[in-house]
Amino acid sequence: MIHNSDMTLEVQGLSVSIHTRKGTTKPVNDVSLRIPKGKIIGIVGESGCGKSMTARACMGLLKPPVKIESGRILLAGRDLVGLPESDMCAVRGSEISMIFQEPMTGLNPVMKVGRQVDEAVRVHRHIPASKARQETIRMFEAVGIPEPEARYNSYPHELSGGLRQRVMIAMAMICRPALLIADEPTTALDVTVEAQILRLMKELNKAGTSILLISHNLGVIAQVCDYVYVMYAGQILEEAEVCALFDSPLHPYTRGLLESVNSLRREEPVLETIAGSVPDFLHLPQGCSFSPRCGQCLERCASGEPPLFEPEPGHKVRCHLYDKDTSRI
Amino acid sequence: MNRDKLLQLMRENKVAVLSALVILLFVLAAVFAPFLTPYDPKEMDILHRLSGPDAAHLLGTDEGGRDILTRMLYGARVSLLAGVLPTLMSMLLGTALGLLSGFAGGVVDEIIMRIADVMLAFPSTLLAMLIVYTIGGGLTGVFLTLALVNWAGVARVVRAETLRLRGSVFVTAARSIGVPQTRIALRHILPGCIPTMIVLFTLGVPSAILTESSLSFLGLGIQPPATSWGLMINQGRQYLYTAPWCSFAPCVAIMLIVLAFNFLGDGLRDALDPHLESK
Repeated sequence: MIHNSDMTLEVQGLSVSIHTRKGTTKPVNDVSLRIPKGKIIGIVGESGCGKSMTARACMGLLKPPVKIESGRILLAGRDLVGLPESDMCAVRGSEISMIFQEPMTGLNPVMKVGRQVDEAVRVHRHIPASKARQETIRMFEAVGIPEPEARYNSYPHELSGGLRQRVMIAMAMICRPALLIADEPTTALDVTVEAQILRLMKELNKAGTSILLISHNLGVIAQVCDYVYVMYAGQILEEAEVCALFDSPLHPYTRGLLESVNSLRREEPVLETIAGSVPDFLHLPQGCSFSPRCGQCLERCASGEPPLFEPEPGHKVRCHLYDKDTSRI
Repeated sequence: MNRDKLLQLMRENKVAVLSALVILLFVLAAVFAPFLTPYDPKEMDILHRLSGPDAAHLLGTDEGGRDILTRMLYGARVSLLAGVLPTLMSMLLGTALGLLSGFAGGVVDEIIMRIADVMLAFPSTLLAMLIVYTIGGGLTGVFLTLALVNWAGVARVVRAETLRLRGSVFVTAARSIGVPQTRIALRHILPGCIPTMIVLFTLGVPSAILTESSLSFLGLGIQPPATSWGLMINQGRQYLYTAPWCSFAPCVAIMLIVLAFNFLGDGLRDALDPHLESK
């Protein structure tokens, strides 16, 4: 396939499998993502739908028994799948970085935070400690850490959650990677800090970094993303520009998600919910994985897995309702 | 750590400072033994055998008429060395193997842990006999035995710590910025094991002192007329009713040094743990 140079990362047909004694599961099933340069792409979905697993697969951070079954992960045209660990080490941090949900545990408790940020520079660029220190302090300033020189010598427990997340972002961004994967970066933070962190991510994005933002919070996705993927049970169910997705959701699951968001203007006393819960990966339903919880389920939803249809340009949905070939209904 | 902080820590933990002083005192006493006593530790004086404490012999004399205080001072050399040196050796070996085992996993882990199982299941006295018969008795045999017996326990604990730390988010975060595995092991995981290792060390030293004494009792360790505290206790055992001071003094010495090491270990662990430091 000819590489599209406008893409920072392109994931093609990625499947991740876990082999256990009970059987083989596929927490990520044939997922394709495109992250164009300079954009913020969102993945939204419930807990356990495979969002984080997809992110970790892109970073090459899966540990046995979890492994990539098939697919390609193209970073600027280079396939990362099957790359030896030493090559992956060179990619991680310098070309792709990741920040995590838990700023409380994401930093080494017995190491000064400055040294931890230093490490990224020193590993990738082999520069002397004093220069690395300068760069770290400059980066602390860039991510809005007050008194960067004093904070350099702080231990993680001396910082607040918001500051720790800023340190994590500094650590991820210090080598200017082309892509930042943010796995629920604000879930553990309170809303005012969340707003600050999201603003910071937007600034980083303006400075040229593409961002893959993973969240279960639709509000966060709506605020910062350009394009959104909706994931469910390891599959992409819907993908669209952010406005299209929020204005006219197509998939019954996406509609259910949007209806179950609380709103200040809401009048009904009871919040909508989606009946049922995420299926067990070992016992995925036949056909469409959402069919047991779907209110508009057709007869063939239970037998045939729907492909991705594109009812409007740039808006794809994995649902039989949008099959133009009505003869099959 | 700067000086003010150190002083503050010392003020807060007086027991640890006292313990360190006790240990220092014992070490100095062992080093300067010849200058502290007019007696020779090996010279017999049958006329004054088993005499109680008096002005000439502060702690009395043993069954050979030798001054007990003098023998304690010289015995401290062996006992302290037998406590510290083999424990350091087994810590070094155990930590290296435990770290490797926990980090490499798979076959390497399996092999190291099965060897450790064998070491733990093997009676240490039998191992000591094997070593003594192979390389000869005395200090070297005792030290080697103590080191070989204790590394397996250390390896186990360090491996468990490694596994715990390896699964933590900060290790994943370090990997996600491209830190290679060996650097993660040495810079992120090893420092996390240090508080545990200090505790292991302070438990290991007294247990090594005790093991040395039991080996010496069996004739596998220090050979008379040289002595160690353990050997002195055992030699005084027969006179417990008639001359209790023979065993009493070395017993108190062992108790003091064991307690001192334990308290010092607690103090050091508190001082090195940044979580506790903030309190």
